[in-house]
Formats: sequence, C-alpha cells, structure tokens
Amino acid sequence: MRILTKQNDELRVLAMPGENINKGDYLKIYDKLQDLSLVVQVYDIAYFDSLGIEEDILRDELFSSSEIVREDPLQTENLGLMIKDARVLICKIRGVVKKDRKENDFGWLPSRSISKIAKLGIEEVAALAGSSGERSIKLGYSLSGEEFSIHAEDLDGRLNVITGRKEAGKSHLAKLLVSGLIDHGARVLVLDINGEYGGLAFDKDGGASRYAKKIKVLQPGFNLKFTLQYLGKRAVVDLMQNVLDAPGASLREFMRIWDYLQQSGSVSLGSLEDAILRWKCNELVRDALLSRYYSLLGSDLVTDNARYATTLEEEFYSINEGGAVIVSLGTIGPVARRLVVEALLAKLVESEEQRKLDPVFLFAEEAHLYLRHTYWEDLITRMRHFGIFTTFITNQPDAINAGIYRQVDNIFLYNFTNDKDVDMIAQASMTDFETVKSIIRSLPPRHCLVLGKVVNDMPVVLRVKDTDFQTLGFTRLFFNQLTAKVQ
Amino acid sequence: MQVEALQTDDLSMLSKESVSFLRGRRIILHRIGQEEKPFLGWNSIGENRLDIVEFSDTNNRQPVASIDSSVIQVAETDEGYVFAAKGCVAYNFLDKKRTLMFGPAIYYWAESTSSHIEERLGEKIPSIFFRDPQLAMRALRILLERNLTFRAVKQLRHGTVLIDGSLKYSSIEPQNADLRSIIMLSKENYGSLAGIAKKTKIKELQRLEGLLLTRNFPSFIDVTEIMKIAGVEIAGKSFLAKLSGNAPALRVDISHDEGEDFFSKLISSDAIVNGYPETLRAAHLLSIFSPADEAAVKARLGKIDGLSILPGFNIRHMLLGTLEVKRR
Repeated sequence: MRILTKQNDELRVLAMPGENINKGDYLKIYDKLQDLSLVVQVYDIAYFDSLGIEEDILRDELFSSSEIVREDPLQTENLGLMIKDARVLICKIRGVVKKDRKENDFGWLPSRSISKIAKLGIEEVAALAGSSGERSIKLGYSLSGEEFSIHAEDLDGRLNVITGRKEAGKSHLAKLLVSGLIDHGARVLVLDINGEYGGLAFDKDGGASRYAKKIKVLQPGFNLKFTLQYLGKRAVVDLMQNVLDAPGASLREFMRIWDYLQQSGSVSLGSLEDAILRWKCNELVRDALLSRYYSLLGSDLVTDNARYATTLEEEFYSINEGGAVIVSLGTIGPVARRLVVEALLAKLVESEEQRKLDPVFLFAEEAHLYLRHTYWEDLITRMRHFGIFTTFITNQPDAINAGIYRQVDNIFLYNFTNDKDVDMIAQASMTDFETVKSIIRSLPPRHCLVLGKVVNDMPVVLRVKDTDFQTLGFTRLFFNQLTAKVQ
Repeated sequence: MQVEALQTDDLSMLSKESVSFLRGRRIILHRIGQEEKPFLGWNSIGENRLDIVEFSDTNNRQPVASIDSSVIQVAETDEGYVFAAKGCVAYNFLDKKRTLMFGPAIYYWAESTSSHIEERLGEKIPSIFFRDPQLAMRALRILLERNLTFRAVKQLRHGTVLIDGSLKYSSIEPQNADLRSIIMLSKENYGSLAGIAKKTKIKELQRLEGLLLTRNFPSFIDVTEIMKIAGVEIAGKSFLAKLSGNAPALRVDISHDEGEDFFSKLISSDAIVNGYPETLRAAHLLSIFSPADEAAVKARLGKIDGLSILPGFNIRHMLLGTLEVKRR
C-alpha cells in the first residue's frame, strides 16, 4: 500500500487487489525516519482510475467473446490486471501515534515514499483508543474476525442510541448489552414493546438460560399493578396531566381531593371514585375527573388489593445481584402503555432521587411510541444525574430530535439505505459525516458501526455475535398457521 | 545596442513565392497527430487512364488471420534502450473468433547485448539499430510481426493472412521467418498473403484515391507499375482498393494472388467494417499499448533483481519551464 494524496483530513491510499481491506478498517502508516505513525480509517473504497483505464476496459469487453490465447513470457499481463483492479482506499485521519500513544492529528504527514502501511488489528485500535475498564462485554467480531468487546463502564452514566433499518439486528444487540450488563451485576429496566426480551430467560433449546433467575417479566394488568398510595400524588398528577390531558381546573380539584383522601388516610381507587362523585365542584370538572378516573381504572395499572400490587423497589430488590425487569408493553393499548411508562418512570426517578434504588440502565424500544418528547429530554438531562442511564432503540432516527443526539455518548448504527435517514443520522452522529454516510449504507445485516465513548471516538465496524439465549421476537404469520392447520 | 534584421532576402522571397504557387490549388489542412484524407480524394487524374475493377462477395469463404504489433520505449540505460513489444494475431475461422496475444514482452537493446540478440534472432543487425531508438523499435516490430505472420501462414492452409502496412522487404529480416520464406510457405499452403496500409505517402497514389471514392461498389485499381516508377519495391503486386461501397481507399500489397480473386475472397471471408477487415482492426486494437499495459511493463521492470530505478527529471520542464504550449 502507498499513500497517494492528502486533502484536509482525508488520505487516499493505493492498494492492490490482494490486500484484504474493508470499509471501517484502520491502517497504520509508519514513517521510520520520524518514528511516528498516522492512524487512518478506511471509509470508502474506489477503483484507481489511471489514465486511459476506461478505454482499456472497453477494449477488453469488446473482445470478451473472442477466445484469447496469451503468450506472455514475463507474466506482465497479470501485472496489468492488478493495475486495472488497483483500489484507492479513502481514509479519514484519526490521529498520530507517538511512542505508542495516540494524539490528535496535528497536521503531520508521513513520507509517501518510505512509509510502511499495515492494517491495524482491533486490539491495537482498542489499545490506541486507550479504553480503560475492567468489565468487558463481548459484542462480536471485527471484519477481520477478531473478537470485539466494550467495557461496561463505558455505558455507565451514558446515553446510548441503537438505530438502523427494520430487521437489521438492533434488538439483538440491545439484548447482548442487557445480558452483558447483567453479567456484571447491573440492574436493567427494559420497556419491551414487542414482548421479545423475555427470551433472555431461555436458551436456544427452550430450556432455562443462565439468566432465567435474573429476569423478571412484568405484564401490566397482571403482575404489574401499583396501589395509588405507592404511586403517590406527584406521579398520579403527572399521569392525569401528561397522559390523560386533564385541564388545569380539573387538576386543581383533583389535587384537593387527593389531599383530602390523604388526610383521611384512605387513598384508594374506591375512595377516590366516591370522593369525585361527592365533591362539591363544577359538574364539568366532575365529569372530566370521572372520565380520567375510569381511564386509569381501565388501564389495570392500579389496584386497591395490596396482595396484587407491587413496587419498583420490590422488583429490583429481587434482582439485587444483577438482572433485568422487563415490562412487556406489547399487548396493551396505546393509552395504557403511556400510563404504564409514565408511572414507571415517575416512580423510578422518585426512587433514584431518594436513593432508594441503585442506578438503573433503562432500555427503551421504539420509545417514540410511548414516551412524550419532554420526557426524553428529561431522561437525558435530569434523570441521568439520578442514575438512570438510557439506551434508545429505534428504526426511526428522525423520531429522536437533534438536541438529544447532541447529548448522546454512544451510537450503534446499523444499515440505512433511505437517503433521508442516512443524512439525518450522519449529521447527528459524533464522527465525520462522510464516514457515517459511506459505511452505514453498505453494512450487511448484523453488522453495525459503533461510535462514541465505548470506542473512545475511534469508530469501529462490528459483526454482532450470536447469543446462547433466545433473541427473536415472535410474529404470528398467516401462512405458517395455514400450513400448520393443513398438516 | 540595436538588434539588426537578418539578411534573409532569399528565404523571405521563397516564402512569398510559395504562397503564390499555392494559388488555385486544393489543399487539406493537417491536424496535430491525425492523418487526414480529402473526402472525395484528390481526383486529379482522369478515369480513363487506369482500369477500375469492381468485385463482389462470393461463396468462397476461407479462414482469415490478421497480424499487428506495437513497440514502445519504456526506459533507457547508460548504454541502450528498453523496449516493450506486443503482438496480436486475430483469427476468423469462418465466423469463429480466436486471438493469439503475445506480450507485453521486454527487450533490452544495447550494443553490449547485440551479439546475444543477433544469435537469438539469427540475424545480423547493423549497429545503427542499437544507437537510434526509432530504428530499433522499427526493427523489433518487424522481427515480431514476421514471426507472428510465419506462424499464422503455417497454421492456415487455404487461408488469408493480412498484415498491417505494406509488404516490403526490410533491411532486417529474421533468418527463419523472413518475408520471402513467408510468401513461399503461403504459396505451399495454398494461402494468400497481403499487407494493407491505411495511408500511402506516394503522391501519385493519393491522387488516384478519388477515382475509387466516387464508386459505390467494392473496387480496385492495379498500381503496381506506379509503385515501381516511384521506386518502391513490393513483394508482389500493389493495389488501391475499397473493400466496401462507402469506404476509403486502402493500399493493398498482395504477394501472389490475382487482385479480383483475392479481394472477392477477402470480403467473403472476413467482416468488412467501415471498409477495413475486422480481424485487422481487432489485431490493431489488441496490440496497442494501453497506459495499464505500460504501467504493467514498468512494474515488471521494477521486479528485476538488482535493477535500480533512478529518479529522473524532465529536461524540457527544467530548461523551458512548465508553461504548456501545445506543439507538434
């Protein structure tokens, strides 16, 4: 390999066809006279267009139907073929290595004539990135097949986004992250929109996996119910205001009713209904409050029976050694889903504020379907300080606004082909536009581009590994059912 | 000090006279590196002076092989030159296309290696060929083409072999594949041999081209006598011919066939594209050096053990500067 040209932060390197270089690979350009190396990342690969090559190829094609016998005493034809297939590796400069330490690019250029160019292994890249941590989470392999891990510490206190087109493997990676965090004793709350994270408890054969005892699947209306007393005034008022859209006047009356019930020591669904019915207030306000009350009742989230009620503290206590509380949101309606999420997050924040819970990693699948925008911003600003570290998983990058992207610490990017999505994500990501745009377009399934703190801002292309637990969601298919019936 | 005008009266007068001599003449303007002909020829000789013979397609189809080659200079040493050569034989075996490609091969041409070259080629090479790279390239091309032609003629019985250019004896002919031997072998194999030149420098022939251009049918004129008068020694007979109705005239040297018989056989056996045999066109296109071929040859040179490539500089750039003014 040889350096061809440099322009701004881009270097073009000539490579011959036999050299196995892929988009995303790192190259080290070592100049022995100065004992310095330039580290560059290949973000695109093109043909080397030497003068007249197009006519040459046209000529080859013109005579391709003719049977050609070659008499080539010096085997120069092979060299000609290599020249025609020579590639230009378009690279971004990622830094300069001085005495095994990576420094930012300071404009130094290695010699074009004597520099040696070699591919950098993923371990060397990690060493240069200087990632420090003791708890590794194995995520997969580099394009050359070397193992690739991140450190759990690099997810701690961070905001992460996993995005890519449908069926690219986002949820698979999210589950790997969840399992990796559990392995290191972390506690995870998963908002599971498709009811697929429960698979963590089962191995591929359907038996209990090593996470079976560390997974708690909560189904709103069944084993996820709270008492009004536990939810408390703040959380319920939040639900009334943000999910059930109660008007201001009604909210004021509701708060008075709540205070009254609290003073009388009977905060329950039954007493709340009675109080609303008997409360001296405008009939319109009463109607408004009653309709919200019935919505809350219909969600099955609240119960007066303490035997069927639970608390977040209780659930997390049961996985004290590390585990995941999975809230399955797939089978409930959109309003109930929003009520559940709002209530959960409100209580979670409260518990974290009061130091009742250790920090929690929150995984939110397709959060735009149930999380209001104000909450997103709250999650990434206020909540992370209390110890809620969020990972958003979405196939709609534009569902997350640019303000949130600017706060993101790690992005796991899967393939996108839609120009609008590619542009959106490329502009929002924390590395250069060209790298993101070029690499994510050509990522095969199960491959992702990792950006951010977990790779110390040295973007890495990763082939995500398989798991020993079940990761696939279940989709009822018409024709499968038909076949089963026929059989 | 003033700059005095040169005493160039004679030269100035000659130039003025030349301009006046051109009055009433028809000219064709030359463009850099392009060979051009007037569309309708010079048309300055009356049609009645020479016989124009029309010919047509027959069912007598034979295999055709066409040969072309090219030689370029790729490097030089302190005592000689390094050339690269490519050759091609394009066959049309009754519509089945086959091609033999030779090279790119590298040749080191220096007086110190002359005895070795002569021994290998079986031919004494005058020393001037080692001092003048243009002559050396020409010699190398003839040697390569003769060898390829010999092979093609040997292979094809009852076949037609075409070479690019005229069928002239060269001052260098390889011992075992010289033109005379090739013609003899062609006759023994009941074959035909011809050289087809795209352009002629002989003014008499240029003027005759117009006679053919006005014809709408494949036709030829026997110009052997004109060639003899012009002092050009051809191995066989020479013709001006157009191989299809709407085509330019070509000079065709035929070693031993009769004109009409040869031309009819040729247009029956090979496709004629824009008035030129397709196999000859293929041989030409495949034998020219592309930039990739040249780079491959230079890369191959770089792989020779102990060979060191010295950094060079462009003397014109150094002396004249880099201002680019297109020149001929």
